[in-house]
Amino acid sequence: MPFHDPFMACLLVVLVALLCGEGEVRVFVSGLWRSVPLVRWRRGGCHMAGMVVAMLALTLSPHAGAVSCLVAIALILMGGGAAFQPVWGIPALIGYGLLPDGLGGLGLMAVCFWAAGRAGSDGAARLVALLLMLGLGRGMAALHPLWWVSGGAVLAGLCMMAGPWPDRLSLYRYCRLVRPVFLLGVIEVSRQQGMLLGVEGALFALLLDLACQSLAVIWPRAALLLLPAPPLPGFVVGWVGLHAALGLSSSTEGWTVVGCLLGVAIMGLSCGDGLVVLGEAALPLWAGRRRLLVWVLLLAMGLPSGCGIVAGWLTGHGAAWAGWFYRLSGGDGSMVALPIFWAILLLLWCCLSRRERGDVQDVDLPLEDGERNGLDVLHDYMQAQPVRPRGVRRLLMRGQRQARSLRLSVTELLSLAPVQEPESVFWLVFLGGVLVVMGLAQ
Amino acid sequence: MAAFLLSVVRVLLELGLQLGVILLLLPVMFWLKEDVPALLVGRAVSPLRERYARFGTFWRLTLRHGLPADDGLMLALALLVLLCLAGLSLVMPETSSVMGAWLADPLLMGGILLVGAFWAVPGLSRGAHGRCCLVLCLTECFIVLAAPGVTGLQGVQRLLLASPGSSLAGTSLCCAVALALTTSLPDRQALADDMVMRGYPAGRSARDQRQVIVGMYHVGWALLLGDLLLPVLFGLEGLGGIVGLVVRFVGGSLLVASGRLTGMNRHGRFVALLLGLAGLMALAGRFAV
Repeated sequence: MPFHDPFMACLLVVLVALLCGEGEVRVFVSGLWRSVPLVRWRRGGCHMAGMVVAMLALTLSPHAGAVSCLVAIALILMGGGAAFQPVWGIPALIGYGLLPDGLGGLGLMAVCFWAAGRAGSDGAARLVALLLMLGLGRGMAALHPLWWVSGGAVLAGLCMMAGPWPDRLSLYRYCRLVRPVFLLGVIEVSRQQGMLLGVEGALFALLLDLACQSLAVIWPRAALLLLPAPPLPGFVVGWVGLHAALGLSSSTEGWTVVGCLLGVAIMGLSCGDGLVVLGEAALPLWAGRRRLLVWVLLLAMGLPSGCGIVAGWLTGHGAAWAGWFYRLSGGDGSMVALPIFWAILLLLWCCLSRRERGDVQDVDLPLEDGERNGLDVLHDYMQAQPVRPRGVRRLLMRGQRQARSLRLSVTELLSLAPVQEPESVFWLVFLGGVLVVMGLAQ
Repeated sequence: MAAFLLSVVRVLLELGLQLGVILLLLPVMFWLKEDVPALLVGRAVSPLRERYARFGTFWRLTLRHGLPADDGLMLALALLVLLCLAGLSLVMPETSSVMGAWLADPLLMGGILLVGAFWAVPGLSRGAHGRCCLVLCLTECFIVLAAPGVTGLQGVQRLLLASPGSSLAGTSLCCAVALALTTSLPDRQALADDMVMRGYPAGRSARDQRQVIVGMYHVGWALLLGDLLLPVLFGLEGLGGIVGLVVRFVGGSLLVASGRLTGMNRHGRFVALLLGLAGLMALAGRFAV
């Protein structure tokens, strides 16, 4: 099936979207011509470099040795140095370099889970770790899907136990990480059993999940999409994943009970994820202007159809793309006509709710601080005056100041990179040496 | 193009007709659900005519002044759920195959009802909702296990008509009882307390409207239970469909009322037993084929 490389292309597209739209990166880019607080500017630079390195790792995925080195660098850059534990991470990555398609994938998975758990509320770092895990561990998932799924559950549990527990929500954050892992396992098992419908359904759920997560990182208000409330895409992910796992359990031998458990687990993870969304973003979701909510509604209507078309195209059913505009297919032959549901719902809602008579408190509401747009928050920190033709001297002074801050931030960046921890430098050099020797020996 | 537009218009007419029937039946359902138990206990209740008058007032106010955005969303969701779960097909049977098969999924419909309830009373304990979600997921799992590849309640009914005596009926019955025992919709008193505490719908008429809307969620829940209890009566055509709707509703509300009267919903083990029984039946039916 011409399936594997387009999936990688989808992951790359998600990464590119993240690179273009993420708040910290935007801060970094805008900091090139106006002054921003140094800490945020440096973090944005780290994020940008980490994403580029992650994209490099995904494109280089056949060369396992180089990839494991790049993964370490990307995780260090994204997580600010604390997200990567060299003491056991380097041996795990070496295991991945030795057996990229075998059980070495578990090592990569453990490293990525750890990094994602340490990233805390930083959504971009979590998503990059997740994308790396999905894209690079796919070889293992294709060969040993049962190991992939059970290893994902066990490793997530271990990382959850060993990680810091600042609050209860940090435990639920793992839901968002484990669900795509399970979905990838369902895809591969269905592909082994020759169930094209199941592959299509689970791939649809996976793509929708990744799209919603990246949108939630790019635009915090879009976290509303991840709520497992029924007409929203978060529920569609859970429903389609449940049905894909159930299709597995109802039409293959030996997967009856495991498929059922997987389905319930996927739906339960969706519900746990909803708790996170409600807990950390309930307030900014509804505060704000009505026009933004309209955009969210449009996204919620259009995203499942779009992801369904892409998934159908990836699995070779691209001819039936028109069907996705009025129904979404679960993985076992069942359908749900959610777009029709949206249409009737919007019709009834418009009929029943009050006409807009220039509701003052809605229209003239200023941008709340819940709108974490990055650029808007920046206005508080603005240090430099806007450019005015007051003379070359002032411009020169500003240039000097910029250059000084740039140099300072470069040194800060260098000090933030593993140079700060001598042991991680040692381990990185060790990793590179081992991989070079391995490459020479082959 | 003209044929397509014509079919769209016909579908809209059919949906409007179904909506009209449901709106006509809603006061009867409220009466059956709230007044008849009180009547059986021996209290005096107002006659059915009074219910119709109250609903008339509700719709007149709603259509004239409109609802606030969130109440409007809740009411639209409730009406849509009732449309899907009613499984009527009055003039065009193919419409019911969309609404009854592609939309009347137990998990989808139950999820919408739970979300509406959570939206109405956010302070209600999350544990109850979580348990209810779990039971809904398991219901969906068992039904899919017992009847692989069918879509929605319409598919369940077709399968039951095609092969009577399968394990599907027993599975869905056990699931219906388990769902009735884990109901987590807020009752009237809890909703009133919550509204007073938050002071959110400011006016008295707004609070009355919200009570009616949450009552519709209760009706939808009873209808969902009835559909699972008697799936054979789902999606009959013509006038038989209306009779089936009323019978299913009465069955579902009897289930809810008996669950509340016997106080069985405090016993989690009984629910677990029922779910295990449903799972066993589904697995037995699957391996017997």
